[in-house]
Amino acid sequence: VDSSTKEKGLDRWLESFARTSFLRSSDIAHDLKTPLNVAVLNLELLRMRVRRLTGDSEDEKLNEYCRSLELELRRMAKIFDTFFVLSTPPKGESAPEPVDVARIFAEAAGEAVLDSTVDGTALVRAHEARIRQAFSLLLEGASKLLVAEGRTVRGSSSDQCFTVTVSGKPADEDFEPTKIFKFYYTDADGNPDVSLAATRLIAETYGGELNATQESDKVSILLSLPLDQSK
Amino acid sequence: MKRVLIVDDDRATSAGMADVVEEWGYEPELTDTVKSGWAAVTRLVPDVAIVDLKLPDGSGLDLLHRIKETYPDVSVVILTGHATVDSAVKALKVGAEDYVTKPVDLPRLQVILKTVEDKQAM
Repeated sequence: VDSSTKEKGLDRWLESFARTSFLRSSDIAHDLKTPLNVAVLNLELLRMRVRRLTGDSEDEKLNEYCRSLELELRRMAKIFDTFFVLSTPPKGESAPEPVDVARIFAEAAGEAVLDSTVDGTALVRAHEARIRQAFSLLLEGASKLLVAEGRTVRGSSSDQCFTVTVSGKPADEDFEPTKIFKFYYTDADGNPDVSLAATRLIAETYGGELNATQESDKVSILLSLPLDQSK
Repeated sequence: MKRVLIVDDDRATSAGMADVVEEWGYEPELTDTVKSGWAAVTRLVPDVAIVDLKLPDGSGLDLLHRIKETYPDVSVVILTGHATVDSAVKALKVGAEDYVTKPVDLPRLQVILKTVEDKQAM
């Protein structure tokens, strides 16, 4: 069996794998969250039990461990939603169509109450609902990372792609650009934040990218999506 | 003591939920299908029903419809593991008191139950 036959076989299998995952994605996310829910319930019961056994006294360390466990369980729920819902096409929709992402970006920035600039129109082959979610998650994540003062939000097109750039000074002194796209990223206040990891996954689904650059005290987060070249 | 009916087909979920609401001072009762949930509603007429959206013999919305048609004073809280809130919004339109997503935010659920209790006491 030559390598091209093997590749074709793998492609067919991947297509079937993707189709199955897509058809069951929403149910899988739901089912995976059931054991997480049981864990959260039992964690609370454990906390209640210990409080009772210790004569209603609060133990700060125990509370801290419980809070941390609960945060991680909730993070996992968000990860499941990202992988099984946000990174798959919306239910009931057909193949991606050219959509004006410049308009969607302007609307998302308006909803996030962020001043932004955007040029003209930019057609990207995608599902509108998912692109809207990607922009919304990007703006949510970037707004927490970069201080409001001096922050700029801009959408622009080149021949090849539409790029959203959010630039500004990082809120956290120990800002590390490689960490912010990880599903285990936790912000300076100790809260799990998967918004940029989810944005990146959606962007990549439609052939795009999400990156960050840092120059002295200025950070830029860039989301680019390839323009539809069919016309 | 207020009676809370929990309708969820996952035993670990309903048992955990029952223990938590019992700790909060409510009297829980468990069922796991639309059919057994409806039977429990007609038998107990609970103050509150916490109903999972996805049940083995149908949707929690079906049970919500039946409860609201026959026992409008029974408050229903919908429990959902779905990421989107479309079905939860549908539930609110049919008359659900509120909805909670999995993993359940327990302080929020406690506030919902307390609000229901206060409303029913008026």
